[in-house]
Parts: sequence; C-alpha cells; structure tokens
Amino acid sequence: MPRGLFLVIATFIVYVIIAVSVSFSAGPYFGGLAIILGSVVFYVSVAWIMKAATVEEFYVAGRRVPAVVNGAATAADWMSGASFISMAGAIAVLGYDAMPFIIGWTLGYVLAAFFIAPYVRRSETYTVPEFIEARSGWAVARLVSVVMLFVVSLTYLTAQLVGVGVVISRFLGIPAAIGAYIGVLLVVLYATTGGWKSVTWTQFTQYVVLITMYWLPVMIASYSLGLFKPWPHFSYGEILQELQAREQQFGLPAWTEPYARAFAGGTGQLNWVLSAIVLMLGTIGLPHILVRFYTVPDVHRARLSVGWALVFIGLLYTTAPLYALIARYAFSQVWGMEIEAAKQVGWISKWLPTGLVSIKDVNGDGILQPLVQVNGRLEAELSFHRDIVVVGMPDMFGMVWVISALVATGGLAAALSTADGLLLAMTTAITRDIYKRFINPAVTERREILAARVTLVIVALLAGTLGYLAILDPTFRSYVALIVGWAFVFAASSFTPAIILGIFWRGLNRYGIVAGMIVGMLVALPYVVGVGVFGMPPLEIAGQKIGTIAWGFFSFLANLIVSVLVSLATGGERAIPPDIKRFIVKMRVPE
Amino acid sequence: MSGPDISEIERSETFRKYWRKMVTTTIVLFIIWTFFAVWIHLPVQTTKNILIFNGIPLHWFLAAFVAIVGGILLIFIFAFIARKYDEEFKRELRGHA
Repeated sequence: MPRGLFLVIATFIVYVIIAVSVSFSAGPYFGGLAIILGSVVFYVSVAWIMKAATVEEFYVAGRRVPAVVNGAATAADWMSGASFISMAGAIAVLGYDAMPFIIGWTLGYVLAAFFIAPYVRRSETYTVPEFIEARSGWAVARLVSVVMLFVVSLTYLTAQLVGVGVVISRFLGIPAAIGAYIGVLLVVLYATTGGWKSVTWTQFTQYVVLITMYWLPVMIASYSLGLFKPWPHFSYGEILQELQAREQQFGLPAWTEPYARAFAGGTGQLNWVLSAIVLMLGTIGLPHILVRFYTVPDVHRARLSVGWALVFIGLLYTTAPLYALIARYAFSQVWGMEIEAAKQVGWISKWLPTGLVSIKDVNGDGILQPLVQVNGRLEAELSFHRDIVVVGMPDMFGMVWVISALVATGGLAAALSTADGLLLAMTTAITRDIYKRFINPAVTERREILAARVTLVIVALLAGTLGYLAILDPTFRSYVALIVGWAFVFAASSFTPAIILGIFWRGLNRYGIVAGMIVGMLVALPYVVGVGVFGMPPLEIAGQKIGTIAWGFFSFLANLIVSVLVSLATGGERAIPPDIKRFIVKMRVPE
Repeated sequence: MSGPDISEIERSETFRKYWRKMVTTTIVLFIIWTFFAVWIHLPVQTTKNILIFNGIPLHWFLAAFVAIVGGILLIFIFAFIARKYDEEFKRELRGHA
C-alpha cells in the first residue's frame, strides 16, 4: 500500500475517533461542529499528505483509471453546492416550475458528449481561454475570454459561498450572512492546498461521500413514510396526492401544476423551456468541464466516462425531486398550526436564529397559513430560504442530530471543492494570463506565487461579500441554484457559441469570436443584474415573463449571430491562417 | 499524430467519408436528444392529467426521471457508434498507407 494512502486512512480514523468522542461527551452542538469542521480539516490534511508523498503516484494512476471511476470523479467535480444544497429546495418551493434545473443540468451533459468531448480532447487545450486562443490565434481573444471567465467563475463562486454560509450558520447558530465570511476562510484554507482537485481517486472518494450523505436522509424519511413499495423513486404517488389535497385546502396551486410559480423571475411555458435550454447550453461553455476529458487513456473511454458521469450525476438528480417532495410534505404539516406552536417545531426553532426562516402573522389570526391575502396582495406567513431544505430535512423528520451533521459535511464538500477549482482557475487567469503576460513579463517566480496568493484572498473576499449581500435580501430571492444558473447564462452567452462554431464551422475567424463574446456578454449581464439583483421588471413576450435564466437564450443567439456575421464580413475562412486550419482538422481526425 | 501529414488526411476520401458519417450521426442523435430535452415537456396540459405509478403526474415524471435516463442512454449509444467509426477510419487509413 502506498504510504500516502496509509496516511490518509490513518487521518480518517483519527477524525472519526475525535468526532465520535466529542459527540458523546459534549452533545449535539459541539458534536455537530466536530463532525463538520473536522471534515474540512480532514480534506485539508489529505491534500497536504498527497502533496507531500504521492501526488505523482496518484497522478500516474489517474491515467490508468477505469472510465467508471473517472465518471464518478467527474460527477463530484460537476456537482457543486447548487446540486447538493440548493436544487431540491428550489423544487420544494417552486414545484414543477423549478424542473428546468433537473433537465437542464443533466441533458446539457449529453450535448457536451456529442459536440465537444472528443474534439476538445484532440485540441490539447486544457482551459477555455486556451482553446479560444488556439482557435483564433490571437492574444486579444484570450484576454477577452479571461474577462468572460472571470464573470462566469465569480458568479459561480459567490453561489458556493452562499451555500457554505447557509450550512455553517445552522451549526454555529449564527446569521447566515456572517457564515458566508466564515466560508471565505474555509475556501482559502482549502484552496491553498491545491493539488487536491486533480487527483481522480480522491474525487472518486468525494463522490461516494457526497452521494451517501444525500441519499441517507431521503432513504430514512422514505422508510418512515412507507415509500419502499417497491422503491421510493416510483412510489411517492400517494404522498404527492395527499400533499396536493392539503395545498388545495389552503388555497395554494398544486405543487406539480405547471407554470403556477415564477422561475428566476419568469413565468409561463416559454420561460420554462428557454431556461432549460440555457442551462444545457451553458454546460458546454463552463470553464472547468474541458479538463475532464483528458484523465482517461483514449477517446472511446473519454466518451464512455461522460456517460458514467451522467449516471452518477443522475443518481442525485433523480433523487432531488423526491427529496423536494418529502421536504414539502414535512413543512406542509406546519400549515394551520398556531403561530406560537409553529415556532416551537424542531426544524423551525433550529433555523430561526440563522435568519433563514421567518414567521409572521400577517393577518393577525394567530394561525399559520402558507399564503394570506392582505390589501389585495398575497403574503407568506412562513417564508424560508430555499437552501435550508436539504440540510434541514433531517431536522424536519426529527432524525438524530448526527444525520444533519453528516448531510452538512456532504454539502460543504460539494461547495468547497467547486469553490476551490474556481478560485484556482481565476487566480491562474489573473497572474498568468494578465499580470505576467501584459503587465510584468519579467516577474520572478517568488513574486508570481505571492501575487497568486494575494489575488486568491482578494477574489475570495469579493465573492464572500457578494454572497453576504445575497443572503441579506429579506425576500430570500437569491439562492445557490439560481446564482449558479446565472453563471450558466454567462457561459452560454460567451463561450458556448465560440466552442461549437469553433469546432464545426471553418468560417469562424478571430474577429467573429471576439465580437460574439463581447456582444453576448453585453446582452446578458445588464439583464441579469437589473432584473435578478435590482428587481427591475422582466421583459414580457406574449404575456409570459422572461426570467433571468431564460434570457440567456437571447444573449446566446446574439453571440451566435454576431460571430457568424462578423466572420463573414471580415473574410471568413480566407482570413484564417494555415496553422489554425490545421488545428481545426486535428480536432476532427481520430487519434 | 504520426504517419501521413494531417492536411493530406483531411483531403483523403477516407476522412471525408468518416467526417460525413460522424456529422450525420451527431445530427440524428441531436434530434433524438431534443425529444428528451424539449418536445416531451411541451404537451403538459395533457400529460399533467395522466397519473402513473399510483398518483404521479406523467409530466412531472418525464422531467424528474425519464429525461435523465434518456440522456444517459444517448451518451452510451453515441460512444459505441463513434468508436465503430473511429476504428473503421483507422483500419482504412492503414490499408491505404
């Protein structure tokens, strides 16, 4: 057994012993903290051990990993706090109207398998800016794509810190907004260890932790609701009907009723379909996807591992709607209770101090209704942040506190690992692509590392502050999955057309690429910020509101059209130098 | 890639045939993909009234389960077809060389 692996197992045993003994001696509060913070310390220690002893060994092993293992690692890489912490909560609140998350973030993967995986692998570029520079042969294009990458990644990172803030706040019993800054601390600690991301077997382990922690509470709750006849994913019909009857009783639209609630500020079928398509398109343009196609030995196994990745992602995504139903069923039990009694309900009392749940008796009748009409407006008496649903479900079912701590470690692992990857990508972009290339090419290695560390802390603080502001919003309008959805809007509006056209259309030249990216982002960014953050009224098409995610379809189209027109106007294929033509052919010819 | 020059390969009939097949397959599978990604979710006003598995509305189950499984199948089908084309191409290329 390699020494590194031995040390990892030893560290894990120490972690379990400490967590268990603190849990028994000091009770739920400190026990929960020991499990959660201990897990972070464990990940960081693993990273240090790997770095010291076995990085190379593990990396070489990484080239021999079977497609199945690589698929699981990819799944862990792909699923962030949005999938783990947030998605089921969004579905619990929005019902069918949040389903674009489910189909968007899975079927986009199919597009990635068809249109980019094999070709990008042959291009031998590891990041999107690298690909763009290789395809355009122009440093300016790289600079522009670094700026785009920054917008995408910062948005994505902010969402992860919101997620960490939510999880931390529940266990420390502090306001979640402050939790976001503790998240910054954890992320920086985590990211300085580096390396951890690239080790496929470690990510495989991480996937196992993640999926176990996700399934654990659902399976326990399913069992207590009697859903194992034969299997919860197919036998929740009766519970669902019971829930919907209860909703009718309280004057709510049925949970599965299509287009009854607003998704990302939009309404109607057009918004639903466009939102799903944008999340699919965004998948192709995401900065951290490309590198995953290199870790297996050949193209066939790369294609297979994308399939396995979707199998493993699917294990969580097909479970999220069930998670959502069970959670909604649990909080429907609070409707109709007396206000004071409702405040004493276990999960509500645990989450009240975080500021993520609020109860107010709007109509003053002392009874908690889900929705009441006051002065012609509908107001909620029980409102809560969507991101508490997954981590809070063990509380809703009165499960032993250890389960909620374990679920929290899964959510934290998902958010932190993604945040780590994004931070490293952004830091490299700033120090290597901008500082070293355009500002100070003669920088010494020591200064470069210093610059990277400083950048890392600044970027993390910036994202933490944005996350802080997002949590403070009293309407709980911004949740992790929505903010990640915006990152997909930006990716679809900047990179996706450049990547697809870059592979399949020879006529795309450097001017088309740059003009398209700039126009796409200029169409996307103001709308998302204006409507999503500042609450401006969304555009309406045929009486249907176009939400911030659905809007990405129009910015994607704007990019596509401008890319094609500008390329044609500037000579199209004739303007492409011979070495770029060779690059295009190289992507198409099998290895 | 070793062997013949890459631009020669590109002009060869073998490559053109390979690329045509690849593009056709991709387009066909893409069209099937739109079925799972878009079309099955459109007639919700009909599918929401169809209950399956003892009370789950069909439109819900299509988005929560069927679409994902369909996507997984498509990726594996694509992987096996693409491998067949890749191997045919490499065999023919060796045959010509």
